[in-house]
Amino acid sequence: MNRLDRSPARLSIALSLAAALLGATASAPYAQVSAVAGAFGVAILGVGFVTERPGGITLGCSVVAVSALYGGTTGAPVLATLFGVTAAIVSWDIGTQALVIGDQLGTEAPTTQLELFRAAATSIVGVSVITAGYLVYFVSAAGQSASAVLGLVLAVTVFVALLRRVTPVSD
Amino acid sequence: MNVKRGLLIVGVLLFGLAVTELVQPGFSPFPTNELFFSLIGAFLLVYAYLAFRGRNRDSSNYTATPDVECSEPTAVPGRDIGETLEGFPGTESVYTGVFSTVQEGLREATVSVLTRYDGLDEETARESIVDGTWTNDRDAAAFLSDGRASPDSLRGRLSRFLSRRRYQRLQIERTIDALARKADIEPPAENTDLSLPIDEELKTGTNDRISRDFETARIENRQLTNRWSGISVVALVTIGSGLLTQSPGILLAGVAGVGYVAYSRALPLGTVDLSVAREVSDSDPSPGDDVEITVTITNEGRFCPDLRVVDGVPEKLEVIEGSPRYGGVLRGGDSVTFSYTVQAKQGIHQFGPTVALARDLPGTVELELLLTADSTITAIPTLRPVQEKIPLRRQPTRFAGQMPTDSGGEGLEFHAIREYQPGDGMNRIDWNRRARTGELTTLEFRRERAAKVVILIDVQPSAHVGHAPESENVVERSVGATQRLFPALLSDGHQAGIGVLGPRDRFLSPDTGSEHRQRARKMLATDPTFHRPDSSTRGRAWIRNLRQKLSDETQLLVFTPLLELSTARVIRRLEAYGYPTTVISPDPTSRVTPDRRLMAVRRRLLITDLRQAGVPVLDWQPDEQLEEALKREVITR
Repeated sequence: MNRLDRSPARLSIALSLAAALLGATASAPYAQVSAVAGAFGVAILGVGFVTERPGGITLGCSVVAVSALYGGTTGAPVLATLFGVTAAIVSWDIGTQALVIGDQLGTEAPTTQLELFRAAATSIVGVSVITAGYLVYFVSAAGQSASAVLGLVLAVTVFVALLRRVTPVSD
Repeated sequence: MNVKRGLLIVGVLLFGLAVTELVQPGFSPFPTNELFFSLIGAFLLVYAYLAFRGRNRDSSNYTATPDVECSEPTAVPGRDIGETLEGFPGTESVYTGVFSTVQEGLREATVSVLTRYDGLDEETARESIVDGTWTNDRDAAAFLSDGRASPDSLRGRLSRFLSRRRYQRLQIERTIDALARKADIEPPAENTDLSLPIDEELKTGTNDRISRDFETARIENRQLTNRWSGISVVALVTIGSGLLTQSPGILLAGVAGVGYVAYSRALPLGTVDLSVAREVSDSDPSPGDDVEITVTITNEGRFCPDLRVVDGVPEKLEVIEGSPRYGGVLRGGDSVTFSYTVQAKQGIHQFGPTVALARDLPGTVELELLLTADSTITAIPTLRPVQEKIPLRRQPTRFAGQMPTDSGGEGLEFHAIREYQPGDGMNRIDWNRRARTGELTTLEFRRERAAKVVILIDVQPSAHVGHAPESENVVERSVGATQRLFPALLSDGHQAGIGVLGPRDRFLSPDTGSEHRQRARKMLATDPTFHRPDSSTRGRAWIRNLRQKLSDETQLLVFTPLLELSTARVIRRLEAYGYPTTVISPDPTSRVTPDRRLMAVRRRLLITDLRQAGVPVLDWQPDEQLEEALKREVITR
């Protein structure tokens, strides 16, 4: 009698840990606290995979994200902070999917194509976000225009309010 | 709609103003003092808090998939100690009654055991229980004698000191072990390792998801997984904090959050339309053969970025190679194929629907579809007939004093000589006499005296049990044994038939011939009576119906686990009606836990009682070949 091995998908675990590591090292050179916190976050992430708990994944990635944000307040370049937070989000997405794919399909089934595709999609969104963010910073920093930033922030807030009312509809 | 449109317009306006501000500084009227920034930041944090409060409280969810790779686990009898005790035979073959405590129940059970195996009468037995002299085990004696004999063992005292409940559990276990020793039940083997926990319930097929209408593909369920449900709160908090702390890094990190908010909500899934085709390498295998299943999924709708498939492996079959699951990306119009191997088992096995789970790219919506492709595997075994002598009873009619049995092998019992008639077989001619005197004579054997034997298989729900979750259940073992006994009975010259013990209507009248043999073989392999437990209670009329079908000079071979007193009673009734009955009982009891051992004791009592009533009972152990059990019985006769 062979029970299905429902442990998390291995490829996705590797990708998630890699993304989290990248996020942690982005702001590590700029503040010691960031470095320690980032390493801690990656460790929690690893434990989350071993114990197969999605809460662990979320917590680990959050710690990495917060460590990057902290680096932002202590003088790390904006790009590093942006990269760190985005990498944490990417890591979270891939990591939680690793658990779900493992639980629904098991480790025997061929899921490589699926995992890579999803990881690529999230990463592309991440890259776009970083690019857009940095562009905003660059343009607004160059113009020293605080009011433009404020305007952008208000616009973004309205868009968030709009998006919260949208649910993805499928046919 | 109006709110959304309004928000969209406002958002676009603000965005436009901000951009023109970048290009043309001083154009827009946004104030830029620090206080204002902090106010906006605080406002955003409040908004985030409200959003958090009003969030969808469902945690992230997704569709769970059944364990199709396993075969259905067998129930192991004796799960509930109270039920086991209630079914114990009393001293006069009636139920011992209902108990309010396990202690009372065990006391009655002990009386039953002592009166049968220690030769005591009821009163003496009860006295020895009260005195605690019935066993050497101190804890057991103390438990049943209600504290008159106090526990002596160190473990007992320590246990009682630490935890009342655990101590009682220990006492119960000790009592059961003492009973088991008296009833000759062996303790569990040293390294019994079950691959499944003994009490687990497992979903091994997809049949509980059968769609109610007959379309080939149907969307059964659509759910929001709530994966990204917290991201907008995170984004708002980050932007707000960024404004408050005047930190551009944090502010821009908030932009990252917003990007993902957009991603999670703005990519709807296209039309999902899938179909499945299944190819079975051999739909007519022999039990034990490997069958390869190839599944092809075709996407007849739009691009599907996340497709997960679980095939509907029949509940009783096990997957031995490959995986019946697949996960991948499927473009519109494309197909994907995967295959796996199952091991065939006796019976008709129908595939359940294929479960397909489709998700959108960010993973926020999950659709469950059931795809059907009718496939069936029918496996009818060819088993070799039993080689040993079948222990039939003496017929109490015309052939008084003669045993109408022969073994189909060594030692055909010679009966008489008669003159040779044309057409007699060459192997029946007495060649010795021919060599001596030149006469041609034919030997006549006992098989001329044919018996009518009906094999009754117990198919009541209580018979669908086995000694381990991965073992065969009693009905399967009985059917397998009948498959082997039936041709042996026929070739010995008897008329053989098949019936059931239980409220079902299945009867094959005793007859001979190869067509009859084929009919029996097919019936045993494919009739659902022998493969699906029937929980309907049709009352006791079935015994009467059975009796009507049995003709007068019939012998019965009954296959039953002999776990219920009611079954033992039915057997004694049949014997009393004039049908000599022999019982072959596949042992379904486990020794692994004390509760299960108690069931073994109960069964042993029922066997003893039946034997004492004159009905021979073969106790067929799970790891034994049928021949060994038959050989044992013949020797002990």
